[in-house]
Amino acid sequence: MSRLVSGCILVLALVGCGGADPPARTARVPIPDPEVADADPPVREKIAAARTSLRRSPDSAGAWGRLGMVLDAHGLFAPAVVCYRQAAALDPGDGRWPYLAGIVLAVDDPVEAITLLERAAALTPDSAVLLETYGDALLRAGRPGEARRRYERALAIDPQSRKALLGLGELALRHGALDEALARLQQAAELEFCDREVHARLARVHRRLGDTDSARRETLLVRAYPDLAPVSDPVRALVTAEAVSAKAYGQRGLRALAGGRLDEAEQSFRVALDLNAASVRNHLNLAGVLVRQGRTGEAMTYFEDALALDDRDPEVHNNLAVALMELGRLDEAQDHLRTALQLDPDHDEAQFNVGTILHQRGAVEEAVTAYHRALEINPVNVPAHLALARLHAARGNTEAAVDHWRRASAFGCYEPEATANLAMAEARRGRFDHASVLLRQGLARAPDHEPMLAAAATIFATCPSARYRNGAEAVRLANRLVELNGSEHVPTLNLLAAALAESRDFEGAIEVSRQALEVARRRGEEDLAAVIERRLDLLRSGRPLHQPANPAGN
Amino acid sequence: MERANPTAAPLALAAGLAWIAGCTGDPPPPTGGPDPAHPALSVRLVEITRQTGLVFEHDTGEEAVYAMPRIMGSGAALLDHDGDGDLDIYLVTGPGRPNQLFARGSDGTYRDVTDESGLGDMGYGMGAAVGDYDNDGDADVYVTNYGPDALYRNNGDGTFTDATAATGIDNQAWACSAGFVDYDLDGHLDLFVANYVHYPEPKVCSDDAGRPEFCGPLASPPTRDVLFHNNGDGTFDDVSAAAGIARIAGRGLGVMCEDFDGDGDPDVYVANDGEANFLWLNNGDGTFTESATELGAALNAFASTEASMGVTAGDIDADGDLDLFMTHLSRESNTLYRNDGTGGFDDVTAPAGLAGPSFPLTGFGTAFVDLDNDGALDLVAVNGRVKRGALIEGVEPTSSLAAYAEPNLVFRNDGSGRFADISDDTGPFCGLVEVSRGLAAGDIDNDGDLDLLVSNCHGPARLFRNDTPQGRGDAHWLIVRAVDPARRRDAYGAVVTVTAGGRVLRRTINPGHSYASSGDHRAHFGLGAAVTVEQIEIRWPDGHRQHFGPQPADRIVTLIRGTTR
Repeated sequence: MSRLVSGCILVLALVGCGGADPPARTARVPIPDPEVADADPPVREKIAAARTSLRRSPDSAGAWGRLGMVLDAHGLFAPAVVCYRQAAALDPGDGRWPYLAGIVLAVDDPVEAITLLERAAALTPDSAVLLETYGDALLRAGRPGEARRRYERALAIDPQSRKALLGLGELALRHGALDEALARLQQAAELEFCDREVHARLARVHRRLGDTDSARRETLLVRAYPDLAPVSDPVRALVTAEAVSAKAYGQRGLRALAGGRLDEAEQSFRVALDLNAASVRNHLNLAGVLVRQGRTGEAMTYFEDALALDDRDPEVHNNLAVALMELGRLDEAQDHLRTALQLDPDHDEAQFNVGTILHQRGAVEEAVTAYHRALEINPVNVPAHLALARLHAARGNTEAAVDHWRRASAFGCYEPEATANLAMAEARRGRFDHASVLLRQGLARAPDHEPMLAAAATIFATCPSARYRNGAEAVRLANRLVELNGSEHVPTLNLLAAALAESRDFEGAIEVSRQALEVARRRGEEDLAAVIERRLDLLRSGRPLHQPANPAGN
Repeated sequence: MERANPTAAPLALAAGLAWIAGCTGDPPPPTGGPDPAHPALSVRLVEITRQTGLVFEHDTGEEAVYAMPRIMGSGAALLDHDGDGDLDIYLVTGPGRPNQLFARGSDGTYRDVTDESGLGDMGYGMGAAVGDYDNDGDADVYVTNYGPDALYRNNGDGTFTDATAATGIDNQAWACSAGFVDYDLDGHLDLFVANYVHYPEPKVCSDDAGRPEFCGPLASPPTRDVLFHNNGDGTFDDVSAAAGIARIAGRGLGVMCEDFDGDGDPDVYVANDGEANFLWLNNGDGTFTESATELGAALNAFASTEASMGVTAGDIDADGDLDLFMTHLSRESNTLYRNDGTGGFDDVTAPAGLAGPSFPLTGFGTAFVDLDNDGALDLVAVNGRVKRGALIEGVEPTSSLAAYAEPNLVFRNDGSGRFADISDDTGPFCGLVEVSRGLAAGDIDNDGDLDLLVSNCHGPARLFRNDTPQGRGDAHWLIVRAVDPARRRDAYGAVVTVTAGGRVLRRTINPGHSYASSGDHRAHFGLGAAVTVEQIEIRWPDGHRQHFGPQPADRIVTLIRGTTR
């Protein structure tokens, strides 16, 4: 029987399969078998399953590639490369395998990585992401001229290629072409402001240009963005999706949390905790998302478990304090914050939370001191800037409030509250260009943030400068606000009326204003009703509701 | 192939060769690098650990297997603890065992003098820094620990007294590297301590596959570095807050104190693990400004933070300014920052030829050293993982840290700042596969070339004698000890500039660099084919420049401030 099977394989090898080209002859490679006895069980199982599939189909490029991806996803890079190489040998027409091997080797063996990426680029010539990676590998290997060509090609394919702009900016910086470097990097910042890489390079450019203030500002932004902005790479995403370790589920949960997908985050954190209940972080992550969902009571169990695991971890005490604050148990929260700060006197978040408790208790000056202390520890602490901005705004200290909003918006990656307030403050000063930029960036990150929508709709509908008005966009944003706030929200209705007027739909504007008037009267808000009536007069005379021009305006 | 010291110059203050005071003009424009008329020599490093009687085994303790401090230590120091003119060896170890001091005898062997010296610190040892903090003419030792650090005062007779409490030094945080530096130029050596992370109790982390592993730095909160000001009366004050050092917490592992911006006062570079490095520029008024990011020395060319461990600095391209090099985790490459001459730095790792060989390795101790005496600073990096990996051929598989062992690296500089990997040609130095941590370079046999001491985690310390062939007499050298008699000690921070054979070479007197280690307190110069030194200039720490006239090469000289010798 076995002889017969062998004979069949031989025949197939000689004549090919179904008339297709004969497969390339590839050397037999042992299936990698990394030491994972003490790995998380799903990881072991997934690797075992991929190996089994491969044993069944040893000539399948897909099976080799799949095992490679599973290994790669779990940090087992050397055996992953073996698999990718074999997959590439078995299916030389598939660009994925040399690409993935090239990515792994780019930081292990750049010379070899370049060979693989060149092969991948030949197979997939129109992939901007691949060319960006290839350019980076060439730069890493000390081949700047070749890197430039790949970056330029990536930019030709995709003018929004941020990594290519960053690479070209770096090359210009190295050659002392500072104006070009500045232009490239500013273009990259337009595409993604919240990226350490762009600000680190801009800091160097500004320093060389002698602009110390700008260099320092960029340096702070480097600190504000501890991570490099992710690059969307569909092939690499396939690898990430293979990861099933506790750590991977934890990271998946954090990504979901950052995207506001709380249920998905909870699910991922639960899996992570099931796999590794000894991890304090896994308990804290799950507790944190439960607090965000308003399930603080349920979260307390996980905080207690975390505390039992490590009562000397300041993160545990700080997070627990936040939950206790949610429950109004301020004394207990304060105790935990005190412990957190004893364990780590530089814990700026704990210091900020101390300020919040003091503020809640009416000790405003002490709260301000605590907020400033948090900022001394970490000048890019966004909640502290926001809290101080609110306090200053409430006291009428507009300049000081604007300063903190500006910082909060920049350090917080267009933090919506700060950005919306800052945009309105800028608009009030007549700086509509800056206000528009802020709102555009802010809405890109928080499309349903109500104050941001309101600020943007207000400027688009009522700005004294025609250059910044956009009736159609104002109507779209105002309608979204109505969806979010309901049709009984008078300020929103007023805004929609102004937007409709700007788009020359006076009939619609009058109708919405009447609706607003009716709500105001029903609620007995006579002053507001009087204002709406005056606006109705303007609308009936066919005049849009523009703000008066500001002498300082542009 | 230990050669007799041609001068056998004793290193006491009054000793040294006579020198004629030179003119006081500015030095000529810097030039340097190996002599093109003479091809590079091969570097030969011969292990002499056993034959010199240096018996030391680093102990990682018996606590939790994946306790993070286990994988981070420990360093080593070269120092002349007894003032006899040669370099003794101090080796730091883990908990439950004393650090050990080995005195070098006249026959070149080492004797364990730990007990009688009183230098057997019992802390959970990480590293050591050496400097004469009390200006009494002998080398004191600061020991960094996972736990309280200790400062040992040299009694002048080869013994030490624990002066930690008496001096007011109090650093409870986990420290790895420290450096003595007179930051305020008041004549007294201050102390900068790089603290690592807040790690009160052992905890186990896991790798991407969920396997138990040593935690990385980001799993623990950062801590603040500490600057102790020497009051000149035998006490220190913690001035970290007033100096601005305490403004930013970090995860410091390596320290290098040099005048990076060339303004005459020492700055401090801190190699941080997993986050942006610090370059504390000295404002000259007792305060510092952190400037690494805007100067381009905080992140690599891709703006990535790197796991910086060891750090060294030197003028690798003979352009008169200091370049920086640091060692990193595998898959990061080590990084070379070239000084652009305006105070900024560029990551030139790849064009310098240093990226490829270091990508697969995790570097710790490192040093720029002219191994072949050709006038160009070569580079050494010792390696060992902090995350398990595949066993490398040559490793002892039964060792509990076998999966962490890696070979070392040696690079030759062609004089222009381009390096060639010559690791395969250096014998056992790179052939041994161990978990190396500390690296200290110094001329232990006073024969004019730099020897290397390597400390290994959970393994033996190893001493390598530099037996690089001297070719056709084109590897001349000079070793300079610079002493300020008013301070009765080595002039840490003094810049020694040697002009020989048409080249200008600069070194700073300061042994503290690498990782948790301290090297030779003297400045070593390879002179290539130059048989005479045309001029030596010393810029003393207070800015005063003194010139010394022509002298033959191949000498160890002690230059004393204010004298012609």
